[in-house]
Amino acid sequence: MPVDQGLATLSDRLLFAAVLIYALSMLAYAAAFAFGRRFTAAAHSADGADGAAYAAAAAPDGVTHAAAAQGATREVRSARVLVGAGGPPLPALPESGAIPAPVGPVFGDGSSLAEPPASRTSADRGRGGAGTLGVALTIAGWLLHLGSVLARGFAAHRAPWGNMYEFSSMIALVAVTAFLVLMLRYPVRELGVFVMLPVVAYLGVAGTVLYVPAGPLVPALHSYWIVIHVLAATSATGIFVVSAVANALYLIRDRYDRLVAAGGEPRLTRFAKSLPPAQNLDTLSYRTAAFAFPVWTFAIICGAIWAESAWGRYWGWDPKETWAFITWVVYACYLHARATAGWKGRRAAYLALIGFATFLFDFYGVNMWVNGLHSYAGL
Amino acid sequence: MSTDTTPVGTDRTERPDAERLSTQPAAPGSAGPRLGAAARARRIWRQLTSMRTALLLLAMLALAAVPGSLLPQRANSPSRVQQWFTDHPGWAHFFDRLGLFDTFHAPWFAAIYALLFISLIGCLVPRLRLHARALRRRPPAAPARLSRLPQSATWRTDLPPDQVTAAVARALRRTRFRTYVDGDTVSAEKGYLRETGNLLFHVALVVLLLGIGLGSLFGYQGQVLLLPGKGFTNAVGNFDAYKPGALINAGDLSPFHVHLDSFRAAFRPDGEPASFDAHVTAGATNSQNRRYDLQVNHPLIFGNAKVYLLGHGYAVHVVIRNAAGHAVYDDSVACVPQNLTDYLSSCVIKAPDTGATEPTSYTDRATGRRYTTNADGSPLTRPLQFGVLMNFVPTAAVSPTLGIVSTFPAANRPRAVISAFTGDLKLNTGKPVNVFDLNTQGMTALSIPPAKAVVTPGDHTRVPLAQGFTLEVAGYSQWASLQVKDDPAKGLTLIAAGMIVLGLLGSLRVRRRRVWLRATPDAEGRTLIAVGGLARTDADDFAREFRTLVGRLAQTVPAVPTAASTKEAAPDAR
Ligand code: HEM
Repeated sequence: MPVDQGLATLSDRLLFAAVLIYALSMLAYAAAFAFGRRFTAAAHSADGADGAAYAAAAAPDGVTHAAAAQGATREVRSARVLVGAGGPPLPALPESGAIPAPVGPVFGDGSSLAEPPASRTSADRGRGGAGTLGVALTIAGWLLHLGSVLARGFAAHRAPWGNMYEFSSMIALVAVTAFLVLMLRYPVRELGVFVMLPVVAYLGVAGTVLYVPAGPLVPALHSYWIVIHVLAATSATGIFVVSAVANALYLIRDRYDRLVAAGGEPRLTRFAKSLPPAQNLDTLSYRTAAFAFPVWTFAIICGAIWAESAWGRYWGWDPKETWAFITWVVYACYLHARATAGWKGRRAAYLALIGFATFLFDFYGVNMWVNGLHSYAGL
Repeated sequence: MSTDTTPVGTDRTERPDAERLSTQPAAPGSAGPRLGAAARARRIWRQLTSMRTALLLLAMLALAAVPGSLLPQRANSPSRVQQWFTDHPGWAHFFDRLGLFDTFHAPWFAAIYALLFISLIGCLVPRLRLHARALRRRPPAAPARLSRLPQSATWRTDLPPDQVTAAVARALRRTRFRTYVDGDTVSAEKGYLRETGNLLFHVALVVLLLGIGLGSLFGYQGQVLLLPGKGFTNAVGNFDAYKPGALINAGDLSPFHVHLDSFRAAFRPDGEPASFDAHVTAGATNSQNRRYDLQVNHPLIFGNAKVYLLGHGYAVHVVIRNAAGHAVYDDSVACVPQNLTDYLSSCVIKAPDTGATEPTSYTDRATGRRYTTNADGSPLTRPLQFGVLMNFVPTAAVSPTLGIVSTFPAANRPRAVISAFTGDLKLNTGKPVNVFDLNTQGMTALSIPPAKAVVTPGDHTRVPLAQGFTLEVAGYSQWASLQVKDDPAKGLTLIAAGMIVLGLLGSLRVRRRRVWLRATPDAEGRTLIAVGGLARTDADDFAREFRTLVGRLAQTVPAVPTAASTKEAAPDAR
């Protein structure tokens, strides 16, 4: 079936409009970031602290396992310090007897079922102004972007992820989608500028350097496995983009905190004081990576099934396959590192960033510089 | 009140492990200074099966794979490896010594993953045991002060404590918490699926390796090139290339026959391939023969074996006639595409039996004398043999600099460009000969006038060779290469892959969380309820879940207002 040129042109125009709107939303987020209220820390209880508390609480009184308890109290204390330092005053605890108890259950933070704690989400929502504009623009851009991808698919009569330009557009779409979904659940709006920056840059490169006109696919790609495989791979990558952004910001914020703690005067990373607390960034990065990892695993498996039906072997250490494997192993390393006490924090973050770099190489470097069966995926 | 549900007197060393949520083995401890051999071995074993070692080995595995992707590999592209040896002989020999052209079969690569899997199995066995025990164990007893937990709530109710605990236990069980009531406390835990998933994932990795290993031991792979009109029976001797697993016998190959009726390649205007169709007749026995359209991505299946369309190319039909016009050679020859963008292909034709002879000479090594006659004075002769090198040009165009080039992969304007040699084809040297290669050393090039050296296949032009012999390119066709692959463990590998994804979902998405409730009578004759909870990961989400859960529990055991509550405001239930 011939390409529908009208739809193909529409797709290109929609993408252009989406990039424009995304860029505007980035500016709005940037304004909110620069002039908005400082992020109120610590409403997030960090994973680490809770995990340690878990271990401590698990030991019944009297027979506390010394090491676990020590670690726990240390970490819990550090979490408290974090609260005291950066956050709002601690709510009065029920023990203080200062507040009249409502009829229903009273929670540890003094809130009740009827009156939820001054939640981070509502604080976040209350920020208004430029930030809200940013979100609105992101949604508008997302709709245009989605339209562009759909139009491309209908124009070429196939799933719209058949060459590098289309993969890149999909990855950016998934990254924005992931960010929008995250905003529904977590106070991550502050990160808007840092997510939209790579998205805009990415789409800019995709729309110019990587652009190819809509067209059919070579026979090796005529398989529904590739549809699933590439969808899973681009989805995982899009989410890993968000994870990597959080990770990079974590490292910046962590550096800032350490500089300040050492009495230094951060210059380069001065902006980091408006970032969410390092712990939150670390958690966000882990959470997104942990979400994307099974998706990526599934993508590799679908790729293997496809390779089996196309070439007769499910794994052949073709460069693309090899780099997918490397990526997978590096992220497995990261997840292990997170689970091992001594490797949390910066070292784990570096691992995750290396993982993301291998991702980029797998998606782009291999196609551009390394010869292999996958290279015909179209540059 | 302390309600330790752990049976007293359990193995002390295991206790801390059991208390943790993860069954991750403890980091290798620093044992005492004086170690016996057994203790040292145990320490090495513990080190090997530690998480840090796993981390290190994983990192090494990733690193070790890098050269294998950047340097060409013999298994995938032997010709590019050869190119390295030509271009950078020094480096190539160095890399080759390190096994970098066969990275994934190199001993050091195998050593890394062997260690990794030993480490994995070594750490899995105790984890499986611990998890099995944890599944049978009651949820742990409540800590003393529930308000110290990350999540907590209190309220009062009119129900007596025993009714509270019973009702709450029921409600918790309904939301699939494992629940245990002990006196005035309820302990509940949920999310064992996390560790179950984690273990499933790690076990699946072992199964995956097993499947890959079995597949390469009991499987085989063979390739065969078929010209249209030719067939092939699945047997070891019929392959052009055959790679058997270590434990497969020639008799184990599933019997079937494939006959190539025709092959068609279609291309888009920009030269990208649009479709490949090999029309074949195939079946396990002749009576079962059926016609198939074999396409990329759609293999034929015979038992465990699958037949794939692997590649295609052009073949030329060449007829060589003697001076009398009798054909001495009449065959189709497969040509090798030089590239996949324009399919300029090179063909080698070897005609050893022409029935004619040509004069030759013989040089005596010892004396250096050259003879052109036999002892009886008759001229020294040898059989006349022709070697022909031909370029098949699918869509010919004349480039001012390059001469005749191909501009399109489809045969829109096919031409054959011929150069021919006479001399010894060296077919009887006892050494294997590559049919796609002509060694022209010692052969004499025939001078074919340029105007006659380029012919259109099928136009009956006879190109003069020597002694009145002529060559005609009678036509062209397209060959297909097929790959037969049998991997009997593929199913197992696929199941392992599925387990890997399932296990990961459990391991990374499920949260393990604990909730405790304590119901104690207060001074006014009501019941004070304290609830506490914690999750190991994802504290934010758990906070939400905890609020919902408390809301539900407060419906089960309704709260009542108390006058005293303002004064005495919910102290810890001890
Ligand atoms: C063969 C390569 C391996 C891969 C790809 C792999 C991958 C993973 C992944 C993805 C997780 C989930 C991490 C999480 O829960 O956040 C995990 C957890 C874990 N792995 Fe591995 N693993 C491998 C080998 C090993 C080995 C050799 C060991 C033992 C030394 C091991 C021990 C563990 C443990 C104890 C956990 C649970 C961590 C926790 O949640 O507390 N793994 N692994």
